[in-house]
Formats: sequence, structure tokens, C-alpha cells
Amino acid sequence: MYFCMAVFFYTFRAMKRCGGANLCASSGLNIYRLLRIHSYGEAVGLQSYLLICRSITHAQRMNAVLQSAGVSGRIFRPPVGLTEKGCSYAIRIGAPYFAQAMRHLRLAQLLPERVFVSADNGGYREIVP
Amino acid sequence: MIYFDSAATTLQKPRAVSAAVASAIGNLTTPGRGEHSASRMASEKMLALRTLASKMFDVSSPENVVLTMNATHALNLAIKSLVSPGDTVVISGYEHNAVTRPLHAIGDVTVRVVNGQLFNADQMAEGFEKAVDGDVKAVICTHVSNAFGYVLPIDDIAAICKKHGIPLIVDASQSAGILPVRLGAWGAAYVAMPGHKGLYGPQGTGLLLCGNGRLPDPLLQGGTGSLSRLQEMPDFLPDRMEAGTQNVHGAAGLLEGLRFVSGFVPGRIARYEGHLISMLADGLRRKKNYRVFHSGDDMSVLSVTHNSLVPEELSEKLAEKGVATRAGLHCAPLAHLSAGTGQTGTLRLSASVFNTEAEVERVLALMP
Repeated sequence: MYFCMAVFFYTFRAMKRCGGANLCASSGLNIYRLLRIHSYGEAVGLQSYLLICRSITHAQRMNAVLQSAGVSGRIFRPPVGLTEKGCSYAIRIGAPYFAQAMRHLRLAQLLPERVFVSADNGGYREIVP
Repeated sequence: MIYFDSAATTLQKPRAVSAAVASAIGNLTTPGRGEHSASRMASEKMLALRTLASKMFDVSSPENVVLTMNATHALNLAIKSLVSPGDTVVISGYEHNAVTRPLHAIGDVTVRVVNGQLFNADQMAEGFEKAVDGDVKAVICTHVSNAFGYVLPIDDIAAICKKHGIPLIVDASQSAGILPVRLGAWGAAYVAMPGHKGLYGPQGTGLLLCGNGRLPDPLLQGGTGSLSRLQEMPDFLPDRMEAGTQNVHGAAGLLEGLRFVSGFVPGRIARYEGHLISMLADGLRRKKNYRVFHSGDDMSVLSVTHNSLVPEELSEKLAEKGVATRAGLHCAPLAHLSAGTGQTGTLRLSASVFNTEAEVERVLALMP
């Protein structure tokens, strides 16, 4: 039931984001888009990647590339203890879109400083992409 | 007031500039700090400014656009990053104190001054060709003289610097927003500009454009919202150069100023201001009691002297009648020495896009 409520709520929000697209006319496409919007996993518990950026400006530029490529990500501040250098910014993206994201970032020459993936214990472990 | 002192700062700004500043106050906080919408919006505003500036001024990346307090701040950052005691630099004979004073403060810097006749660009270029050699650490050159409106041959000077592999710093204080400023095409190390003159932004803003691979030395150390456990300033731009809270309110206004200027057909502002200045020059020449320093139609600045009145008296008389000008050495004593007006200075009139032909005619009628 909660899943249905979440689908309803996020579908409504997706419709607004999609400029009021007619859900009935293209319900399959919009539900796909809905799942992509929440592909970073917070709503539905999928694995996610953190792309660590050196600064807010770096994060914004990377996110702009990802958005152009149709990959939804969220800029946020990761826990300060994640890296030894203190405050940073990261983009969180869902696991299914990681390879696509990295491909576009490589093309734009805007690679993250480091990459972490969500671990089974709720934390993050670093990977080398 | 009829305002002809835009070379100091533009008085009339596009409405969008003040609206943006007013909106920023109360809506935008510090970028790169909080997680809340006010911080995010501030970050987005800063990125928009950097992105537009990078496109307008041929900078490879928005991150290479550093927000400063003004052009003087930007020039200090650039000069003190490249020049150390014992170095040799080459400058033109028309530089502002914002260039000569930092060099003086560094101490023990050999400054080769390329003197040249006013408005003789070929002679200036030849002078730089002779002065620049392998011993030179940096070349610093104004694009347009703030005292005389003289447009220096920056393209030629940039080519000379490229040939010798010497970093070039361009002072674009009087050209940004009026003439093409192209960091990349020039191959310049740095270009400094104020936000509050030809870019019609608020005071308290300026930009330092950094060439590819350039990592200037910060003047200030402090919080950047990044790599906060490290005690060294970040080794990337713009964070390295922007310690503390930036002037986000000013940046919001400057963004609108850039949008305003970039909305004109390229060259239109220069032609219009040049036309007004030419009208002034021609009118003052007809009065026969003025020495008019003017050449060509691409100048936004005009300097004159009077046969019997000193520039300060002229300026005061005009101010009493509601006309704003500036008299004296214009913080550029070197320029006046080069032009032969070092003893008295000049009366300077400088235009903006908001001046009109009717204002020019009124000024000509009021000039003694």
C-alpha cells in the first residue's frame, strides 16, 4: 500500500516535472521516467554511487552534464568523514545509471575526484571506476 | 545629473541589475556551504555568472572565472602570482596605479616601460617587440588607457608574448563590455576587469579570468566550503582564490550586467560610445581653447585641457551645472607622463550606453 501511495505521489510530481504530461496517454514512458527520477535510491532502496567532487562548482558542472545526458543525480554534502580531506560535495546517482554517467563525464572531461558505492552495512566503500 | 564619469564607475545601471541585487538580499545565502535552498540558489547564481563570463571572454572553463572585489584586486592577484623580487617585467607607458603600485610594493622589480606616442599603436607594438626578451618574467598591459581612451594593440602584444613564452596580464578595466576581450585567443595568463564599469554591475565586484593551467597565489586564506580538513588553500579554482563569503548579492547584479551587455550586437556599444565621444571631441575642437586628446571613433574616454583653466576648475564648474566629470591624473600618473600632461593632468569625460547625443550637446553648451 505504501508503495502504491509512493507511486501515486511521485507520479503526480513527475507529471509536474514533465510539464503536465498526460500520464494516461503514455503511462509506460512516464512510469519509466518516474523510476529514473528516483533512481538514486532514496525512495525505493536501490544501490547508489557517490561521485565526489572537489567543489560546489565542480559538482554543478558535472551535474549539468549528467542532466543533459538524462541521468538524474542529486548534489549534496556527503558525511565529512567519508574522505580525509573534510567538507566536499557529491552527486548521488543510482546504480543502473553509473556506467552511463561515467561515460558522459569522461567525454566532458569532468571526472569525479573519487567514487564510492553504497555498501550492505549502510555505509559506503570506495571503488576505482 | 549628466554623467560623464563612467570610466570611474557607471552610475546608471540596467534595472535588472538593481532588481537582482535586491532579490539576492533576503533570498541567497553563501554558496558552497549549506544544504538548504538559499545556499543552492546562491551556488547556481555563481555558476551562471562564471559560465556566462567564460563564454563572453573566451575562458576555457567557468571555474577559471574568479570573483574579486574589483579590477585592482584582480590585478594584485595576477601580478603577485607571477612577479617576485628581482624579476623583470614589461609594461606600457599608460598603466594605472593598480599595476604600478603592486609592482612597487613587491620591491626590487625591474620595470621596463614601453613609452610611445599617444594613439600610436604601431610604435607601441614595436616598443614591446624590442622590450620583451628571455629575461622578462611577465608583461602587463592595459587594453585601453583610462586617462586617454587610447586602445593599445593588445593582439600584437599578445602575439609577442606568445612568441617568447612570456605570460601576459591584461588590464581590461576600460574595455570589458565594450571591446572584445578574449583570454583564450590572446593566450593571456590573466585578464582583470571590474564589474562596475562597462559591465554595469554593482561596485564591489570584479573578475579575474585565469588562463588554462594557471594557479594564482591567493591573497587571503580562509574557509572555502571544500577540503576543509586541509590547512592549505585548495589547489583548484575558483575555491583557491575565494576564501570567505563572496559578494553573492553583487554577483547576482553582475550577472544581469553581463546579460545586458551581451544582449547588444557585438561592437554596437563601442560604436555608440565612440560616436558620443567623437561628438564631444569635435565640438570642443571648434571652441578653439581646448587641447583635445582624441583619435579615431572607438574611444569611450576623452581627455582635454583648457588654455587658461586647470582641469580641477573646469570639473568644478561643470559639477555646479550638473555635469559629472573627473579631473587630475586619474590614478595613472605614468599615462600622463607619457602623454605630456604630467604637470596638470586633464579633464576626463567618459561615456556609457546611457548617455545621449542631447547630453553631449548640453555639455558642449556648458563647457567654458
